[in-house]
Amino acid sequence: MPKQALTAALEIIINKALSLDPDSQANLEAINGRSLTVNLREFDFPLTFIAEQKSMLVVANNTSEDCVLTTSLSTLGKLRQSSLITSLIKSGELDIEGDPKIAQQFARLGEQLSIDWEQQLAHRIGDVGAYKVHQLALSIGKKLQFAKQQISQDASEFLLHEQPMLVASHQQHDFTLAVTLLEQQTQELDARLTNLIEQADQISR
Amino acid sequence: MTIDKTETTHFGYKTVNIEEKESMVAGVFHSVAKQYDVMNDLMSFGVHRLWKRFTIDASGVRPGNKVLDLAGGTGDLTAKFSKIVGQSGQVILADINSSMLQVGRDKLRDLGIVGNVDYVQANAQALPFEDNSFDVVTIAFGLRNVTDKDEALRSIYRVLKPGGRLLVLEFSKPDSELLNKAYDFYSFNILPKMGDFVAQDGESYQYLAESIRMHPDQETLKSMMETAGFEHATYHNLTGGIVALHKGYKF
Repeated sequence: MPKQALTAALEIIINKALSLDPDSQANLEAINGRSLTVNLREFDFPLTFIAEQKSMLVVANNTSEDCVLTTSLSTLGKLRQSSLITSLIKSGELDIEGDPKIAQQFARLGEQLSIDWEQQLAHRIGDVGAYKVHQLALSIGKKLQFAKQQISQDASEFLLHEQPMLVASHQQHDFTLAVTLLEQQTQELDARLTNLIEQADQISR
Repeated sequence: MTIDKTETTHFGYKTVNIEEKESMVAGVFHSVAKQYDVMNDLMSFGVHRLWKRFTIDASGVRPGNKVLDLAGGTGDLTAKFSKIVGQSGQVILADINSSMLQVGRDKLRDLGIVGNVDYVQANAQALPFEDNSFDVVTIAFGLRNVTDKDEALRSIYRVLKPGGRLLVLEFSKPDSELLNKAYDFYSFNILPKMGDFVAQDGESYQYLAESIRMHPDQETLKSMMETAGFEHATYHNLTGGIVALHKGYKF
């Protein structure tokens, strides 16, 4: 029953997150009674999200009559940008049956979720403890961000200069120019050869 | 199937008169009703929630459907069905036991589940509904307590709409001998003690273990469903066959 374990875990996580953000109630009420089915290509079963007044139900069944999305996990992230939706449908990465507005309303519920972690923590360990933990988390977050940038930069330099496994943008540009030049020269040669063949034909007659 | 020619039937390992079984089963459930959910979580380590989710996913219930949750007890299935069928659908939570029905009704109302749920005290052998009324009928952990299971299956068949389906979620026979032995040890040594400790009612949980052993195995129940008229009857073992979900259609 891995499907059921997944839907149960998703339901617990979603409902916990919704309960921690009082502002999510308005968005949830806007889709009360509506449902969204997502067919992910990586999974062999659909996931249906059914919105209730105060909670969300998740089932592994194709039940939605409002909106059905068929897509992949990698495309799911791109759906945030509504400008990309048309091109995703054209390229076959996304298929929508039903009302796309319903899908957008469900997405908005997730995007606009804003949980005040410091306040939530303060309920459990007090204001001072929560403030210190929050500051520590921010500091660790900044350090991790810096480390990520540093590692990315060092890796680029290593791959480009120390062990030239990647090409730099100017190298790629030079290569493209050389290919274009070669293409032109080949076309010129082709034209000259055609001309010579025609002349040889006339002489032989 | 469980009734022999001398008009007796089983109550766990005991042989009792048919007339007695109903009241004895009622006694068990009046006794355990208030602790029913807690005990279910404890006894199954919470896995009963996944078994019930599996049943809902397999039911194919759609918005607008009419569902009968028979022997629905404390309403776990009804709560989810109610959300899936929406306001255009209807769910009837039926149970023969008034205490279980009361606990179920209070629980669902506390959860704010109202509007499309009705409560009916009903005997599965003589369902008080018109022919061809329901799209889906479920009976989860209830059929083994019914005195005449064949009659109950015929009664369910009658109230199902053509194209409707029955889902029977029930304890069954583990498919491995090793699991069977471990399960026997757990059922007869640990379960009654747990019932005694938490619900102060070891006897009821002794009955639970015995009634599971007396319940028809997977193939027998499947053929009983076919005899009652169900078509395309199939079953799916869950947790190694400790529980099985049987499904059959009325066409």
